[in-house]
Amino acid sequence: MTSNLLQSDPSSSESAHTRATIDAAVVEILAAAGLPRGQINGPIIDQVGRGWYGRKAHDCTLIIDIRTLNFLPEKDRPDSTLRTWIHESLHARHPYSAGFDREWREQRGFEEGVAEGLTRLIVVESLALLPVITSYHFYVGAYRALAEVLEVDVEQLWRSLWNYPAGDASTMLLPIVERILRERGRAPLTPAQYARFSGLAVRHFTTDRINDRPNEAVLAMAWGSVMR
Amino acid sequence: MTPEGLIDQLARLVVAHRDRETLELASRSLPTMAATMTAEQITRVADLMHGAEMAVDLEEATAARERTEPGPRVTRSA
Repeated sequence: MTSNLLQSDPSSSESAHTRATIDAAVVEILAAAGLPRGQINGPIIDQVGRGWYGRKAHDCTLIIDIRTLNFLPEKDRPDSTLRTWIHESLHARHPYSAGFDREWREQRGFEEGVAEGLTRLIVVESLALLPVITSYHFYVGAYRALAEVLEVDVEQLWRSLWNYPAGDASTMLLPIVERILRERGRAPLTPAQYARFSGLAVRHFTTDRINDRPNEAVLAMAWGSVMR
Repeated sequence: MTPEGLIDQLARLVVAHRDRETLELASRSLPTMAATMTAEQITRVADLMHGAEMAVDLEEATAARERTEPGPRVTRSA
């Protein structure tokens, strides 16, 4: 079905029907995962040709660009299309928060790590699809390493952050970590640990690391060292 | 130039020139670039272009807000 969508004229009734069917499936998948999508405009399927696969705009319009997805080898297109659709839908859980612009410019990894981490859990682990997985590796790895240090499932960490609108992850990470420590009967962070943790989080999730590759063992050592 | 070299060059271009014209120029070169790239490299370019376009949108929105809200700037004293 995604192959039909990628090959048909976006203005055709066939494309509209396919888009509605796939979108209904995405909504159902996310609801079943307990990660329901919020209100959106669209989705719009178009041949935008701007180089990205999909995006959720400020006005909550969700756009999938079939022209760029068609740059992929044919075998990769269907699963990567669904991955993009789900990733952008996870950003669309709520309207962007007031802090979104600043966070996006400076520390995009807080939000992209959450959206991509949950996307992989759904698309790869639950649906057993095989999309191209290279996006936001470093940020996903940084969250995995943090979860290891906290001795929690990373899914719990991502779901806790997903509860807040995109743009709030950078401010909500520390309160969530403190809650996890409390729930696990561990000592709260001292003021010095709090400050070191904040600094490290900013360095890990900075926009500049978008193309980096993670070494999760090293990342875990870094998280562990600031919490000692 | 190798695909990795092209990606590095594109990254520098869209970071240094955050404007609509640069994005238009870069996106016009993508079909040719994609023909020499792996699926993973195409996806990295897609993430790069996604970030660049979002950044341009945000800068334009900020500029538009400043044009429509030209009230006096308040300087907070210590």
